[in-house]
Amino acid sequence: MFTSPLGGSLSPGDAVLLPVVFLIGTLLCSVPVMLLIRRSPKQGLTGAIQDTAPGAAVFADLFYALFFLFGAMLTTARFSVFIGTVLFRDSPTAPLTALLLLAAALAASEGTEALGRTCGILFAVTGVSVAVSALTLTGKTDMANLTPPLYNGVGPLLNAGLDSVSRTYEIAAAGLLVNVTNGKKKHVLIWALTAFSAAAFLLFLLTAAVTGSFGIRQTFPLYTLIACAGTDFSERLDAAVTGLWVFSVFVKDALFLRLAADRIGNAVKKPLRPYAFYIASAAVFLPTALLFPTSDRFFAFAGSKIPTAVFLTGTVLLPLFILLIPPKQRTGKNGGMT
Amino acid sequence: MKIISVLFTVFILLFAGGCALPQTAELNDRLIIEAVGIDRTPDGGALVTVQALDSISPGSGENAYNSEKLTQTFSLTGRTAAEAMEKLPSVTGLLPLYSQARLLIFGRSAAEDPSDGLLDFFLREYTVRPDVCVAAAENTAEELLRADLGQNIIGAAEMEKILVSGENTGLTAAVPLYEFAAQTENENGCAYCQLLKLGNTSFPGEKQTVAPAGLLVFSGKEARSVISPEDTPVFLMLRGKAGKISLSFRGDGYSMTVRAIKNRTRIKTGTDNKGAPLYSTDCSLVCDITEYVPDDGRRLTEGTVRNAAQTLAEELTARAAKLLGDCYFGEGCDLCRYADRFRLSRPAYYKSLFDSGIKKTPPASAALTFSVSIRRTGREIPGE
Repeated sequence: MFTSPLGGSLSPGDAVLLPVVFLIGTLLCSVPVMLLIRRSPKQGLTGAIQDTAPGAAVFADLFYALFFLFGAMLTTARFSVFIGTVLFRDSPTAPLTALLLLAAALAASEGTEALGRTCGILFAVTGVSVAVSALTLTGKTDMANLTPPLYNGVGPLLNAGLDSVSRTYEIAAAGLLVNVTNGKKKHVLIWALTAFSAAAFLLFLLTAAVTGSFGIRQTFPLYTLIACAGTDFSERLDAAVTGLWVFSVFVKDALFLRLAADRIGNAVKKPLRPYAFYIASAAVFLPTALLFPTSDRFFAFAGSKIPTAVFLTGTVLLPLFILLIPPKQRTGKNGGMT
Repeated sequence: MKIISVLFTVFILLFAGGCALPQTAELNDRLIIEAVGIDRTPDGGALVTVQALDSISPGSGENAYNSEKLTQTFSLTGRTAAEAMEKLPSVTGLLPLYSQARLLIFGRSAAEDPSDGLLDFFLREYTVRPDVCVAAAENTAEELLRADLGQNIIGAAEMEKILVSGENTGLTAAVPLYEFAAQTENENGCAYCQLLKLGNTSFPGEKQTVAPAGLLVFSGKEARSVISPEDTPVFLMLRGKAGKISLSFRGDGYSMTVRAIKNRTRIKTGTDNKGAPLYSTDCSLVCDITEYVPDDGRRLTEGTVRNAAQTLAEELTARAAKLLGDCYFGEGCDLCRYADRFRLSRPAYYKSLFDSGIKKTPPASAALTFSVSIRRTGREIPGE
């Protein structure tokens, strides 16, 4: 949400529809994972793989470890582009990125429950900041800034929608977190995606109505929007939103590092040591710093088909493949079938 | 192991944060820019004038209030504005900091030049805030930014105050960069910005002043016409942006000044029987009476108030119609953004025009009505 999809090629009217396409796309992509959760409500994605093809479980674990390291790398690189473009233009971003990943590794070592509680705080803070920003911006809206939806055809919107959906590594994360969460997992996933889309819809609508095509075409449209928001009591809401972004990148990286380390631990059948998270964060930092020294390199990579292919493989194709194979029946202790 | 890793990370985060940015300039190594002015040179290049807080001269910094001026002004030339801006560090020895900039001023020569690129540098430079005010100089931006407005006065801050405070009374327009840029990049766009001029000085050595000189209206990237200071409130009313605007007028046997407390403008688009666009603009004002001066000592009555409301509505309609006629039908400046609204309401029809090679909406007719409601707070108006 913080960075513009496809370099901001959308018109304001299409940008408002983007969260709707995002919601439909993510819900469709969630179907295989949700069916696997239904099949294996206690074990989730990994349990289903174990049940279906025990021999392939190690490879699946290694794949998902790389999958989440890749997700963390894209998240970190995107943030690195932001701090290198907006916050500290004349400074190298690698030291700050390293600090962020170091903190994320520490948070990851605290466990998923600590991360979940942090997300709860983040959710509340995000909600309040979105509401405050919306309130301060409503007086600056001009509906003439909007353009007719799908005026240039459906192609740009679908491309941008696919780009947005392919950033949602959280769907696969939900499938892997089943064994450490309580409650109705499928409902939580649906509500999380819907709430995110609703917030994104509100923010994109405001971006289009306040800043028109200028804001939508920016690399960081949300930052541009919030920089336009200001009240008598606070003129620099963008500072608060930047802090929020740092916080959310930190939590997202920590979660992905945790999941990646968990998968590796599962593959080698050994309990996790704290240094595993630091090794994982180094595995994220090195390619981020080496592959994307400039924002152009990052956007060229992010705009390629590789991230979409990786996302679809881990979120849709692999779970779908497992779904198509009937689970092998385990033999219980008493020789009965379970 | 866990305690060691926690301590290590906390230590790094707390104490090594500064080391993470080895090339970040300290504040006293930065040139804190307050305003940037852009003029065209006779050979088609750019003359950029930068007003910045004075951190160079002796007496600046802690003793700033003892110094003659708070700001320093630099002028640089280049083939483009960006090339001129790039020379700033080598001229000043300081790294420019754009995030505090308040004002971006175009000289008339730059504003009237339809060539691209004048805004590019500021749109691509992410540290320039998108809500920085845009204005134009009646003559040159350099003249405005170099004006001696008095001791301990930051010229850019003074001009920003004129724009923002004047907007509340309908005298000036404070146009942010994001709005200006969106309109200049829009195929139907009609950007506008406040025109500023240097005020006349009565005595030699007297400090100069800056005064509003109307609005400069653009069609696309090109400045097309000037709206006079007298018509600025009417224009702002048409855009629904008039704040607590004061209006004085003469009625039948009295003079009256009213203050608008509510301004609402509704614009509708449609087509007539022949398929040509039809625009209607309804502008409503709710006003309080500030002053009532009868010619013959008559008291203010409900009938006088009704008459005043009608007189004011007719006067405003006539002025707005002339303004719209001159700008929209004469200069092609779409003041009320009719084309954008028409495209929004009838996208298929609009697109068919463009697909058939017509780059503007066909001749349209526009209806314009002002409705004024006048009241007097705190005092009952007697009947007839």
